[in-house]
Amino acid sequence: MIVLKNVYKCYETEAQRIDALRDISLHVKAGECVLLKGASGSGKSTILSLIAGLSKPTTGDVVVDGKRISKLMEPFSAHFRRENIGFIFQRYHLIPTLSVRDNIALPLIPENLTAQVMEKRIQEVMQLCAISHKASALCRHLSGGEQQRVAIARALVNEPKIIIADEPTANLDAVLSEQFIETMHDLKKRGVTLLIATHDSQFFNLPFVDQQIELKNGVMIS
Amino acid sequence: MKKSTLILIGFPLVALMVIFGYYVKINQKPDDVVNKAQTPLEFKDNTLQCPQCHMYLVGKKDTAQFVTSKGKTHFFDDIGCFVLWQKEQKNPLEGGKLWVFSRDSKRYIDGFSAWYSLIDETPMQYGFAAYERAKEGFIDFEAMRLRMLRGENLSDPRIRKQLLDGQ
Amino acid sequence: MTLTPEIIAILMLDGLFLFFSSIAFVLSLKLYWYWDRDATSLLQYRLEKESYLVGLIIKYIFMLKVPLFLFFIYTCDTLSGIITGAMCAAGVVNSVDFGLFLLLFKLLNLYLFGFWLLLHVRDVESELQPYIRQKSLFFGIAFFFFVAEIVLEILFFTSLNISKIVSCCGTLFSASTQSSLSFLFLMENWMIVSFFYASFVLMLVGFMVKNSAVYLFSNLLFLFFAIVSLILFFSTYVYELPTHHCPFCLLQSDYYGVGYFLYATLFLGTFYGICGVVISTLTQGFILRAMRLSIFFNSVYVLIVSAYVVVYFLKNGVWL
Repeated sequence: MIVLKNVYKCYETEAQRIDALRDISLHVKAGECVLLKGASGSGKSTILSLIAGLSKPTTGDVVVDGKRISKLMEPFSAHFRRENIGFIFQRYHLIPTLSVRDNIALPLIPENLTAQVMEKRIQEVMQLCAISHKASALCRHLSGGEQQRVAIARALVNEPKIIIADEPTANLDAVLSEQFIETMHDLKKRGVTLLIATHDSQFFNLPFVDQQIELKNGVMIS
Repeated sequence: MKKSTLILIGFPLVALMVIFGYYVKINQKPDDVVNKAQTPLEFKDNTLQCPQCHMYLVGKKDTAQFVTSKGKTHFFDDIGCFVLWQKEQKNPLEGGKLWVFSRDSKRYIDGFSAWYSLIDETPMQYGFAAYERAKEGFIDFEAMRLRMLRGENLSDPRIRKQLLDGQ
Repeated sequence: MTLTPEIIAILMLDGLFLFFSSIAFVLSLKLYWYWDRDATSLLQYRLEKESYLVGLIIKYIFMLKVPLFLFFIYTCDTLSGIITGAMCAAGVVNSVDFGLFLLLFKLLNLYLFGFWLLLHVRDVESELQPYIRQKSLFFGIAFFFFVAEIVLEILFFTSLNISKIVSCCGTLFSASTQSSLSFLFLMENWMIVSFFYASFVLMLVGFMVKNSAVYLFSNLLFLFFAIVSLILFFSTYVYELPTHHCPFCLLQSDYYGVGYFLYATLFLGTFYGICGVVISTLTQGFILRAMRLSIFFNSVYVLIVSAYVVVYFLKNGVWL
């Protein structure tokens, strides 16, 4: 499903050169749940953004669901991402002036679905994420946990094959974190491939996690 | 390539080439013709310009034709224009053929062996008309050429008075 | 040198285009030599980013060349007011020795640039960008045409001499004088018009049997005979004057600028018919669309020029 081959990622500024990833190779099968562990700056978010096609590697290859996403031009990688990947960002990236319902509906707009199909999907994910009661509230008026749930709902609305979550429970309390873990477990049962970058220890001993990858200074140490 | 393609492209192409070739041929001006035989050519009035004085040739009287060794024919309304043009262009005379229309035999004759009068009315007023048979007072081509180059022709009023008074 | 606002605008744009296209040229050569779609090296990823930049630069330059061609004609038309003897763009263009050559060269370049644009569109429609090397190579060649055009254009404007008397279109497009175009008048009108309609019929046949080679050939013939027949025959019916043959006066407001519309339809029709067909030999699936667009524009052109003749006859009961 997801293959990274000898991937290097460097960020160059005028002052310095930062090697975010060094010779990373990994293989994730369809339906697996993979955890990326490591301290801040170890390269977890970089791997996730490469897999989502949000950035390109400096060298090496990234293949997702048979497509060489590292070689796709932006319009095609955006289309692929919309069709196949749900991304839950560390900082949510919601549009604060839109309502919860509208934020969740955004990924559906380019799909040219009928209004009924769109509404059905939006209602389903809002119920799944327990955010239906806030459907018409503006996102800037929500708490951190509620915003996180909206971000999760938005990631799920396109029924993606892959969910990528970057520090998903960073702003959630213990109860909400458990609810999030349950949601992820449900998704895994449905065959969705999960990639979760976290340093939340609640994830480390979960039975449904298939692989745990530890990163340090851009290198895989386990 | 399919047979129909060959016909639909080949036939119009050949037809156009034949038609255009025919039109080019019938509309070809005498000074564009390759005159390898170096013979004097026919021309229509008011279609050809003398390269020296730029006047259009009307009728054959007093005209000259010079055919180069490569078959290019130059038309002149007056033999004097040919002399001046040849000197300016520095065109070699070797291998070329000069034809002048003679006043007595009314045909084109070899300009290098023709005889030239001094006081005839010619288009450019130089006075040199070509004759096939020599008469008293006529000069040969070389003498005529020298006179033209020195300006000793009817277009100069002094020479004109001299020549006409001497008559 | 005459510096009207239009000339200054054209020269400034020429300078900008020259600068950016030179960058695009260097990058195109790099793309052509080193492009390897399957490679995952640093060089290849850099080339992929550069290919986007190159495509963007060339796309905008070539897209702008089309309206700039019309602007060039318009500039020549406005210059006719200050150049003695010139009544329209014809006189201005012919006031410089290579003016007509420059105009025809610009027209040829429109076809070349349009070809690159079509190839670019087909290329970016595909995920794999299969025509990067072909595009780069083609631009590498077209660049020289592009630079030559700019150089000639600059020389053209610097050679204009407002104190030199030039011929107006009445002299240039006349059978009785020895101008560079008077050879056209050796052919009889009925023959040229017959060839014009015959090439259109051949085009229809090529379209109906979906034969791209015949279609391409017929468009080449059609382009030539359309221009010649416009000068010799159809323009006289637009002007309603049997001795007025100028193809530039059609652009003037006295004739409602019908020339712009005629030339645009003729260009688009023959462009899709020539370049569109050539493109479809390299790419797949474009031939039918190209043919349909071409036949549409060419038909519009034929209808309009024929309409002028028919309407004149219906109004006056005689031919010119």
